[in-house]
Amino acid sequence: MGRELKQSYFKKIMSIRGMGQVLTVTVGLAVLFIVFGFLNPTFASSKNIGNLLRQIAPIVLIGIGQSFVLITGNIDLSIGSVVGMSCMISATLMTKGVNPWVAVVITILCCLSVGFINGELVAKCKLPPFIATLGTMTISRGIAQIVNNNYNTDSIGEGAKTFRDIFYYGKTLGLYNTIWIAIILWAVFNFLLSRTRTGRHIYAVGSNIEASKLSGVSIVGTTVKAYLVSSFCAAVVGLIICATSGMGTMDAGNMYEMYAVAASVIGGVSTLGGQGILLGTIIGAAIWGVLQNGLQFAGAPVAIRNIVIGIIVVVSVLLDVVVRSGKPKRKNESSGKVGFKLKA
Amino acid sequence: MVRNINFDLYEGEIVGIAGLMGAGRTETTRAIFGIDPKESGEIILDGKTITINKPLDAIQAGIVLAPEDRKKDGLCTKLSVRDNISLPNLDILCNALSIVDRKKEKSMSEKAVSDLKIKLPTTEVDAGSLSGGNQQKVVVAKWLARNSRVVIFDEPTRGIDVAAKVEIYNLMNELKEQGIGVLFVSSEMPEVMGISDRIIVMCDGKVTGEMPTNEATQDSILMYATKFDKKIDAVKA
Repeated sequence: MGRELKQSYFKKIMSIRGMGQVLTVTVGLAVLFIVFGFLNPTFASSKNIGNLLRQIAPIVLIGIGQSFVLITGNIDLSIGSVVGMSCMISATLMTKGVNPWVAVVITILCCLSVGFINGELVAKCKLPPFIATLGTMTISRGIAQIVNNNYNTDSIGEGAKTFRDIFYYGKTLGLYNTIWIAIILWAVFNFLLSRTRTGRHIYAVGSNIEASKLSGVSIVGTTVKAYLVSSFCAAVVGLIICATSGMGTMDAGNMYEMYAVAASVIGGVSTLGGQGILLGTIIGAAIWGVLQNGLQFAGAPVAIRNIVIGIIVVVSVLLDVVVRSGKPKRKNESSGKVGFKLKA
Repeated sequence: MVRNINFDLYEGEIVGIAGLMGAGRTETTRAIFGIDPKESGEIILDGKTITINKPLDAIQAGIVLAPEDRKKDGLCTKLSVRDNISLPNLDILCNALSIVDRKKEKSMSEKAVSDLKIKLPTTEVDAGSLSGGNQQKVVVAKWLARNSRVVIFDEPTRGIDVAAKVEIYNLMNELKEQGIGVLFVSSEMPEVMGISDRIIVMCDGKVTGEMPTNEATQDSILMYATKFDKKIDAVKA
């Protein structure tokens, strides 16, 4: 009885689209973890794992954002700059004596406006997403530099202590708050993507824009929503970085758009659109984190880490493109057989 | 470009639109459904003038379109059959917070699949993995869960096997019996003459002829289908 129940539960999990791929990647994650644990036992210590999770949390967040955009069949290169912008705007406001929570709200609104512009440029003005977000990437970095006259800010001060605790230093139920933020936002966005109308529209737009339009889906609205999620996640990460260092740094979030793509793509989100689940993004981000942290413990310099992660991203995208472009044909044949069997 | 298109469609009637390639039939259906912009013209449904600027307007008014090119316009091939069937019906399937009711969704897609006798192992398979005829049935199934007033079929039988064709014809007749107005675009003349109650012939972006099916012959349809303005001018000159 118990075994049957277990089996049906397993079946149910496996029937979720994209779950097979996520499980494969999870095995990879486990292998990496064990290898690095052998190379340097400190890596697997509970203290390091706590730090590792805290390091992974922001990557999970930007990965969620990038996954939303990738699933609609677009890409968001402005994530890293929006992180920097969020960090600088919030820190500048706080050093000027603005209440931290007011600063947080203003920061998030500023970042959302970047997402809105991205969505409108891509969906309404039909710019290639690569070019459009490359432009807003440069603009947002410029804004990050200009808000404090091209200087990093001073310390955000004692008044922002609760802000720093909530976003980085504090612990709730034994876990760092940063990790909780990632878990809660992941749960919210995962629900949004898998269970709501907006989520269905996001998948549909990424799979076939014309067919979605003919099914009554608003392409512009859906694309804008995806970019809004992306810039919201980037804003939260910027706030986390601000809380971590206690000051605003102009080049915060440098390369983060790359890390976001890495987390999504390694986790099985297709760059061709329409496929992928957010559980994969967590695993992808974890692989990123284990590689960064593990290579550091193994004594590899930053340059090597960059090269390794770059190679892994390229290989995952390559696999994705090769597998997905070959898939329909093969599947067609096999399902044809099924149809034939049913007839007979 | 189509212009001066004017026709009536009554409930419980199948109207076939015949014509040669490029006669503007697909353009007409796209304009009715609100995919391409219209410069002028009005659509009157149940005595009320309705404005259709985008497909969503048409769907809400009760006019739906099963498009010609199923791979390009009809299906999200990377998504499951269930996703495809529920996509245009999410307004019915969602609660006030726009959360999808998965039980309702499942029963809707399974009912549609059994009603149309779509052959597939489960509703979770990719829509793109089905055969042409079954894909076409999914395109049609998307629209049958709604209480539509007008269903437009654009070349529904192109490239599918005979058995599937017959099922599509049967389906059209069922819709007709339910009191739905069916608009049927086809390039195959025997098909148009076999299933429609009335035939509209188009040529060069205009309606050139209209007749009840029992008065139509292949010759008369062809005559109307080749009524080009310019050709006649050339002959006169």
